[in-house]
Amino acid sequence: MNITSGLTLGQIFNRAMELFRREFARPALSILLPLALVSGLLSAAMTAVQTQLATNPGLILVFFGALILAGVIGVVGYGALAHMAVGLAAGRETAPADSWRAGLRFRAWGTLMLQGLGVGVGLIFCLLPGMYFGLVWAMALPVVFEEPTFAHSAALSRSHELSRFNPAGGLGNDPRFRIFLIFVVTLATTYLLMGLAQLPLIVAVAVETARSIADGRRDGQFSSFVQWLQVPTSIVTSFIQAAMTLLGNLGTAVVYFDIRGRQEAKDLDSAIDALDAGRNA
Amino acid sequence: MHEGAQGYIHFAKSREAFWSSFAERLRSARAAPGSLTFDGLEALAVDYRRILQDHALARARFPGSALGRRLEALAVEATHLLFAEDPKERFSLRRFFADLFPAAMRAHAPHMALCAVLFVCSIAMAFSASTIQPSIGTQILGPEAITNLERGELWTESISRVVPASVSSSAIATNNMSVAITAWVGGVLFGLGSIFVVLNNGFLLGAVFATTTRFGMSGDLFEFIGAHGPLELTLILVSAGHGLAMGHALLAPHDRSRQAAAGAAARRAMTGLVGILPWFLVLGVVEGFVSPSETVDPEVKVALGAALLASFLLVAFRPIARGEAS
Repeated sequence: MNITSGLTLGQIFNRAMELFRREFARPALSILLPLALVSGLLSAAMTAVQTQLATNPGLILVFFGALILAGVIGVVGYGALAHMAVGLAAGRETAPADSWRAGLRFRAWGTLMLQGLGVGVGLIFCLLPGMYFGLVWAMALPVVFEEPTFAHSAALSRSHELSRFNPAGGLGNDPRFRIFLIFVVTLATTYLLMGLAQLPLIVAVAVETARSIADGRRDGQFSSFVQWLQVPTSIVTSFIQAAMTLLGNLGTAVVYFDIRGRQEAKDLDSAIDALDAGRNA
Repeated sequence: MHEGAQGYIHFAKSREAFWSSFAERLRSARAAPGSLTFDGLEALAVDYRRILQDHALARARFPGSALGRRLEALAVEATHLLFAEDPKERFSLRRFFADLFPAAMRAHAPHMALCAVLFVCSIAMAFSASTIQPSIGTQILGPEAITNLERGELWTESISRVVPASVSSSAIATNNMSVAITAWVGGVLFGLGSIFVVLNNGFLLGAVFATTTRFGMSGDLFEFIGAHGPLELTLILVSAGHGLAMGHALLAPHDRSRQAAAGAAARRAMTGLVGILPWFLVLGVVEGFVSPSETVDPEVKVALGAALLASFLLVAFRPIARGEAS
């Protein structure tokens, strides 16, 4: 490792992938599945509203109930995922129950909400500000979990400071660029896996569309089978999305520890070890 | 006095002059790197090892002391100076767009050309099929859009009336990027995903044009897409071409191992993808603000579309040094 530029991108990806593969079973049932099921519940409520609202107006309340539940569990669950990723990257044994508890803390979900709000507002203004905020605040949750003195806006500031730490200079060593590439690779993998998971739905839609065209229909409506097929598809795609979020969080956590290590001179240990090795040789 | 404290004072006194001199030379070198002579640099490098040794000693014998922290700061500062990369070797934005991106584009140009041919064939097929069987367009656009067309109104007009331009610009850029990334990553499935995205988008475009032609509104559609369409479609074909190149490397690695061939193609494809993503932001602004605008003349929109496409092609296929091309 070059001690000014830190881990290479390849090393960051390899470390994140290795942790993901080794530890995937731990959060799969306890964090990823609940997140996916809540998303499925929301999808089911939406389908029910679309297909049966005329006969049962009370369904709109069910839909809003599901929406609020999905929002709350989503925020806490994504905080729990970030906590687990930080713990794994730090080499700690992290129990899912501890991660859920960490996600429930105001300092975690408050920071996540603040971050989401800032990124959301930035996205409204032609995307670029939101993308930039997303990159510089990506380490806010690792900061919250690892440096207890920071939370909320202070965690966002600390993440911003860490994201600009680049003593070696150059775009390739810039943490913002590294996080951007982690984001792109994670997003691409998410699209690939989601595309495969959606294949049954795509085939069903294509078959129904072909039938409608052959019949000369122009209502553009799909059968209830296709509409309800969206529910399991939504559960599977949400599971994939959450799993890929964990992978992205692991990559970000590896970058975070790499920066902190170099900023706080832990990298000197490796320089001293190298010096000792040279003297002993 | 305590023996440890005596040791601390002795260590500090015996080395103080060296540390101060090193700190001073380091400060000068950082302030004006050009003034550093070869001898000065060599002396700094040798003394840097002594600083590391002192730091290791201070950390082991006097943990948490002010002396340890001072030596740590000195060592970090010297590390950052002495281990800096050669600026010529450094990966910079300039080097990326001047050399790496054009090299990746050239390497995968045949795959992009194949995607373009498939796209045109798909448009032609969908246009013919939708002209013969109009319900294809109805199914794709939906009954509401068809009702709008019957009233002589494009479906795009209602969207631009309801959503503010800055918001629609973000949504458009996000959607286009997701299509491009899907086309790119689809190459991992031996190129099938990339081909699917190309054929699907060609089919949709052909069917939509056939439908608007049926209602006598193809001119309005051409006017709407004039500013952003040429570059947008080019970027999607470019990303699909990079994906197809990855798939090709997986299928036919030639004299290399499959892993090595796919790895090299994936690195070039990643460069290509990262190089086209910023253009989607520009397109989002154009599609959100210029394309739906009724105050901008159609000729201006078409000229803007041509200028954007020409700018992209100039950046993407600019001449590059022989070393980068290989």
